[in-house]
Amino acid sequence: MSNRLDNTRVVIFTEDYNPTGSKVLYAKEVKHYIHKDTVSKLEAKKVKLKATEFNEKAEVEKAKKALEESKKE
Amino acid sequence: MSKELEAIEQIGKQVESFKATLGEKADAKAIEKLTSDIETLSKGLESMTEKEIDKSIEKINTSLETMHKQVEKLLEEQAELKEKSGDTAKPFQLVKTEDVESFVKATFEGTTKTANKASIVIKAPETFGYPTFFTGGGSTDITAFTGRYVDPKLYERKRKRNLILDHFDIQVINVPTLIYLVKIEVGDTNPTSGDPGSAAWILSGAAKPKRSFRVTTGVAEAKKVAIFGTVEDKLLRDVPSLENWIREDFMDEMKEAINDGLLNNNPSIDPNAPLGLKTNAVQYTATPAYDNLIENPNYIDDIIAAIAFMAYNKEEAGIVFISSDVYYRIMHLKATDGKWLNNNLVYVNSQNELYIAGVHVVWADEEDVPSANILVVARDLGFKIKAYGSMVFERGLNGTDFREDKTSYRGYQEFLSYIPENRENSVLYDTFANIEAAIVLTTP
Repeated sequence: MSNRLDNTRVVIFTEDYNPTGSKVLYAKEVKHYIHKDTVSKLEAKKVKLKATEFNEKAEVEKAKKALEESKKE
Repeated sequence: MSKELEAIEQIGKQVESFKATLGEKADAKAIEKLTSDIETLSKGLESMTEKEIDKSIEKINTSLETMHKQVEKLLEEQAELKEKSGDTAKPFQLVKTEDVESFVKATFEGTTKTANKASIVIKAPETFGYPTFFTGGGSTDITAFTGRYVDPKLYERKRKRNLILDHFDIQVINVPTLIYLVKIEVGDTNPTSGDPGSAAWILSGAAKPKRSFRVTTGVAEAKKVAIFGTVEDKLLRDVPSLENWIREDFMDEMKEAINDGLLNNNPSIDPNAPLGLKTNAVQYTATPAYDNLIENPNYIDDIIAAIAFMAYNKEEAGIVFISSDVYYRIMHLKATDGKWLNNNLVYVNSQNELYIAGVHVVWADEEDVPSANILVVARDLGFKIKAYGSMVFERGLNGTDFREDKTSYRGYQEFLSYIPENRENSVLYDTFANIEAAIVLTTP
């Protein structure tokens, strides 16, 4: 696994994240791929989110299947 | 022979000429009478009185004049019929033979013209125009008469900018395998995690600090991008530009595939394609001067933060790639007081190149760098691309091509790409949202 994937977290916010009140940075119920350091800081701010490690194996399998499908078309 | 007799003889020849021209339409009796009059005049020239001669000549002239008009009319009719001869329909007859015969009959009673008693109505000439001039319907190609100009350019969809081929140096090598050397700084006692040591200031005579490192290798194999097509020989012969069109199309298709592979591919997903630039790119993390300290960050703040991140990680940002959409959005960012954010950090040079904090900002196609993302590459880029040989486009016979009068075309090229792990910081790929989340000043 590269540094990139090792450091990435898959984050789902339970409510829109709008730190300044003027712009939504992260929409709720959508997968966001955020560096683990930033996730830690968001968690420290009590932002409502659910973070999981990036499952490279599963993601690669999914992408492989999609690639095979696209070649069939 | 007297001059008078010579003139009468010429008149006789003229009558014979008219008779030949009019053919079946000639009035035999009128011609016979005219010939007889001429003969009488010729023989009686010396015995006739001057008055009788004048009268005879006048009669002959009148008949000749009438006959001459008939000949003119007949020639016009023939010309018109000739023009219509291209039509597959029956030749159009403006005046029927029987009409002419009845006309001649009615016009001449003996040698006297009685024009008032007969007439033929000739159809008025039509106006030449597009609706009627070209007959034959769809089978008539009007451009055969008007001519046409063929624009030699083959119009096709506008292809996107090629981020990889337009901005990265690609050296050509002549072997399919590349080995790169990597220095690993580790201790001499523990090759994986030991302290490699470093230079230090010491007292004269004291033991000098130890230093050690290891080397290893990485490997990159050539990956082939290719395209193939077969064309009927007849089509190649009939359309002279076709081979050039195929060449251009194959080249363009391969260049798009090269860009896509070298930008996005993860070899774990598609092992037939090379490593993509974005695959091992690092994500942004806030550096101390930016860590939740920027008030209401915008695109310019995000880009400068990304440049600062690279510098903090000992890489120097060379090019920032953003989508064309964001590129132009930056041009009219305004401060809260409504003034343009056009300061010394953000400027466009005379060639319309945007620079932010001294780093060249380039717009990329939305497919390559979406509006939500930013891609930054270092001036001394750790991501390397090599081409194994040049791009090939060639023709040949494949399978049953020779038997079936076909020709096949192929295009291909091979590439290798790699990035040593210790240079992954030379490529940053992340979202603006991630950068802003890391740098935005939030009130507790």
